[in-house]
Amino acid sequence: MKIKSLANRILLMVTFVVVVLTGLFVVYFAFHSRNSLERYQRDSGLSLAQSLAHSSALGMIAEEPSLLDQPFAIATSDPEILYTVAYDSSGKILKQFSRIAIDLSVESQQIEAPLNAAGPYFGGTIKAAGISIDEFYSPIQYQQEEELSETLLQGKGGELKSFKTVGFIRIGISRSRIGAAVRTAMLVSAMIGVLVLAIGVFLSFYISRLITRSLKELESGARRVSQGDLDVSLDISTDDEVGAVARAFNAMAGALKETTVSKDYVENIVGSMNEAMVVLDADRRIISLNNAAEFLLGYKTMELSGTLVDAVFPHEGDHPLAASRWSLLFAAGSLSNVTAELRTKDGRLIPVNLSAAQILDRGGKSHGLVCIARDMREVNALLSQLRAHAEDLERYQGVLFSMLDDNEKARLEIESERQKTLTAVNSMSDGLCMFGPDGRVILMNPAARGMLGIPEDAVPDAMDFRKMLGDAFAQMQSSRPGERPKLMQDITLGGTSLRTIRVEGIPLERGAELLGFMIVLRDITRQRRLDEAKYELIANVSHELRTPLAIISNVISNAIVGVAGPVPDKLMNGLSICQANAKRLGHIIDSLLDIAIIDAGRVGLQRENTDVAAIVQEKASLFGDKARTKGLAFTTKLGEGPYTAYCDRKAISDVVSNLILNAIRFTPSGGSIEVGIMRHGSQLEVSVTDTGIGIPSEEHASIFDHFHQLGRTYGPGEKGLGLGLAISRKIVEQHGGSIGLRSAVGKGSRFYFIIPASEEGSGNEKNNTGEEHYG
Amino acid sequence: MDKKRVLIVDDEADFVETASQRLSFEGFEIAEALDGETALALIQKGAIPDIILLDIMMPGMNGIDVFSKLRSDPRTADVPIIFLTVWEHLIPGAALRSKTPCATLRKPFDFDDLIKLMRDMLEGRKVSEG
Amino acid sequence: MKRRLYILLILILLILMPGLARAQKVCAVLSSGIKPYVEAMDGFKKAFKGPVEEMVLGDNPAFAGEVADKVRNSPCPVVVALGSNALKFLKLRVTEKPIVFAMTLSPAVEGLSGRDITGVFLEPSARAALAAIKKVVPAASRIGALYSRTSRGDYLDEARRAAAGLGLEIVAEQAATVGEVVRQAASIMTRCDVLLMIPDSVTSSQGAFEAIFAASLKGNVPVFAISQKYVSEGALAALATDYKDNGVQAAEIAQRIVSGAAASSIPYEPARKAGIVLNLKAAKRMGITISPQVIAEAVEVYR
Repeated sequence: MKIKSLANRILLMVTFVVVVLTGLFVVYFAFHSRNSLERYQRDSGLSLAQSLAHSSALGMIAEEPSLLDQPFAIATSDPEILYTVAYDSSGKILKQFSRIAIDLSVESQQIEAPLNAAGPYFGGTIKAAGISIDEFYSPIQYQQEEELSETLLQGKGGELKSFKTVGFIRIGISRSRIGAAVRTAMLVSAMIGVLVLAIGVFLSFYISRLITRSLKELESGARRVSQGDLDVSLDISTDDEVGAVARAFNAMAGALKETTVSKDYVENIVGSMNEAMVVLDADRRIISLNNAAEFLLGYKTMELSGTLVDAVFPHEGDHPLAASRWSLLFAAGSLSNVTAELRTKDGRLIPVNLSAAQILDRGGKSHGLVCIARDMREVNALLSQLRAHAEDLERYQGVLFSMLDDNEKARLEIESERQKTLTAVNSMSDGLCMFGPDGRVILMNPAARGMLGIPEDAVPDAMDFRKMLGDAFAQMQSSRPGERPKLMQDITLGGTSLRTIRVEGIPLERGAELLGFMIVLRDITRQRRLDEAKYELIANVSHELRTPLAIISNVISNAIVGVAGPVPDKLMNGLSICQANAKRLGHIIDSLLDIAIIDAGRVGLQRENTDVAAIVQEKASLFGDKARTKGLAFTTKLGEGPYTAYCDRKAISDVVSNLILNAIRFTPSGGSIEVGIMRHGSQLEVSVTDTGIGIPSEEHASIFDHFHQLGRTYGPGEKGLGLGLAISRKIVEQHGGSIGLRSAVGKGSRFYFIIPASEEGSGNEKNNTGEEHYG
Repeated sequence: MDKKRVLIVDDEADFVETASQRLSFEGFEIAEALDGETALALIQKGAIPDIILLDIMMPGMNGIDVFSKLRSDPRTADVPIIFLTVWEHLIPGAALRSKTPCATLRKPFDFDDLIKLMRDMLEGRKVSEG
Repeated sequence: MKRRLYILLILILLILMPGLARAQKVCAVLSSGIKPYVEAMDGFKKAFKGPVEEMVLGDNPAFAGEVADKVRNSPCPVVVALGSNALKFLKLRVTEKPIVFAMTLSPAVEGLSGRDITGVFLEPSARAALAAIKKVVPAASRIGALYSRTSRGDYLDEARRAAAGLGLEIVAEQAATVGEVVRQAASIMTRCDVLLMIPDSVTSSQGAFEAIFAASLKGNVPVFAISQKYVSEGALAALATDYKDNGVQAAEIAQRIVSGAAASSIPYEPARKAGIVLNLKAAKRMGITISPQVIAEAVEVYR
């Protein structure tokens, strides 16, 4: 029977082997067990007989069966020991023990063997009471008396050199145990054998299947590869030979695939490349064209296949592709970037850039040539364009350089101008600061630094200015275009000595855009001091003049009144003239003082956010009575608020008082006076309108000047210096405002002044923290 | 009507003379002092004046101090006082605003104004500060 | 001058004669090659002034014949028998030379009077034995002993005499066979404090010892054995003879015979040097405390 399958063959072989081995094993095991059991039986029988003989010696000698009780009991403790007998030297039973019914007496011929034996021996197997019994004999020996000293000198375990047999022991041991044991052994070994057989068969089955499975996989894999499916990968990962074969197979498939991939890859490249590729064989005949070549030449590969390359590359003479130079080309191996011409199907010649390389095999033999030709038409056209451009560029470059030169000159000029300006600014004695619209300091000249006490290397901060200039700065920053006031104030700076600095600020605007601020600082301390001194002098002088004047007035007055007696008329006239002139002298002295005051700028402002309407109300109520007493109607008119202005409360009050008082003076009884305040955008207008005598228009301009007589009188109770309109004008102008009037003779007058209002909530009255409200 | 006593305190002798002449002509009884100490001494010695005309700028004790002294003396606390001076801005506002009768008149002044003011104050009329 | 020469010669002869006599060789026969006999031989050789020709008897009967011939043909004036086998052998085969025995228990020499045989016993004297018992078990007073016809009557007599001097009483019982020993052992244990084993082929045999030992365990009476073999097997104590000294003793007797004394005129001697052997386990079992000094003095201690 031919068994085809490898698996089955393996299975069969292995099974056969296993069966044979198992059988051998079973047999061996059975025999071995039996033998060892037999041996065990024999040995135990012998040793038992001997030890029993030994321990029976005494009893035998003494002929005392009771002495044999214990040895017998010990010996027969094992139920397999069927009987034990001790015979004396004549064969008479001294003691016996038996578990079965058996006649244990012996014949005289039977006692010879045991009595003459040197030691215990197996006496054969008998059958009694239906049981197989192994019999063992052992002589009971006793040492002879005479050689006691020899025995003693021998020491422990001395041999019984000469002894006497005084009897023998007979033991019968049942064989049933052996039989049973042997049978058990055989059964066990049979079972083990079967088990081993089963395992063996199973394993062989498994292994054979394993091998064949692997083989099947290999087979199917190989078949698939041969059919072109190169994506094969065997899933065998064992570490053995099968696994190795599988891995090798996978590697092979992988390599094949790569080759195919490479091949496809190359084909793709060749097919899609822009350059024309022509493959020639060793005889200069065209083998193939790629797509680009076909397109360029207008031929198909089929048409040119087999034709000499000259058809397409018509070169002669020294050109590398000329027929005569062919062998040289092969020897050289390759061409690179050679200019050549291609002839197309329709006879055109196309300029190309040619490179070629030999196709070599492993051994170095040439099989042909690969030529790559790049169409140079476009390139050539580009090149000529580029050349033209390059010329233009050169020209432009010339122009550019001259422009740069001019720029440089201009820059240098600007730079020198800048330097001049900078020098001028830096050497000014007045301080100059420029701020950006955000209040950041752009420029601060040394003079300004000196005045403000900001060291040269310190970066000045708008904060410093705010601190020094206060809300005025904020005002300047925050007001709207077109309405931005000019800042002018005098600030006193501490330091080593007090200085007065006049700060003039101008917003820099371009249209509606605020570019920043410029501030000029002038140290007017000296000027101030001069003014102060001047004022002091004049004030003192005028006061000094007053005292003698007062005395002279008194005398004249007294005379006129008649204190010294009646006065002749002629004298009275003269006295009147004297009195009038004395009064005039007094006025001149007063004016002198006023001038001094005005010139000295004594009217220094202490500004704060003030409610101007409140001032107006206050003065109105103050002078209202006076007006009414005089018989004048007195009203106040308040327009739309708010009326907060950053101003000197006292000064503005004085201005208002001045205007109201003037109105009262120059309005005859029956007339009316109206005091009003209005807000126009970011400005406040306070006006006092009366129905008085009016002021001629030619005096409108000069009315606010010094010395203009308004007929001021000093009445009782009037204290204070008495402000003139000149001083009022000064005050208003110092607030950045203006003063004016509208009047005609007989039609009454309207005096008004305008000062800038502060923003709602701006200034440092409302907020305690410095920063937020600016800007 | 009794003659009212006027005490004139001024360091300028001519002024005092001319003023005294006029005032006595107008019917006042005159007492003169050329400085503050003399003025206070006079008051201590003699009768309390009905009204006092007080200069500011004087050597020694100036008018303001005299004023204070007068006002702290219960006898002279309510006596009307008129400051006659070229330096009226030196008069402290507190003095003027006090409840005690006082006023200011700047030199050179019109004697008529002075007389009127004096008579008003002697009669207890409240003088407008204006 | 001549007279002096003769005197010198005579003197020399006189001096040499003993030497000549001394220089005479003796033959020695050992029962076997075991260590005790070798030790005794060494002792003999050291003590005897003269060469000794050693022969070992062994088991082979053929060889035994050769030994007999050798001895008979040898010029040795004396034959030394070490061990009872050697004695038994020589007394049968060599009748014309005097024999000096050693390393033999006294029962082996019964019936040898009248012969030219003398020697040294393996056992020490009865007095020595009793003195040893007194040392080991001072509390003992009654000393039991089993005897048969194989033991020397002198031994027990000597023992009785010595016992009286030591304050001990000898209780002796006769047992003709080992079987009787087995029967007597139990009863004698009840009548003594220590059982003394005497040199006796029956009552000191291996079988007898086993019976006596079993009885001693039962009756809790210690056994003073005849040899250290029994001490190793469980007896309380024994006197162990110094084998070397035994040889020396024999050499001294041999020397006398060589010098001219008659063997039959020299009385038997007991072994004069023996040490106590103890079994401490047996002592513990019996509840006997042996004095540390005795333990220290013992030649061998079984624990």
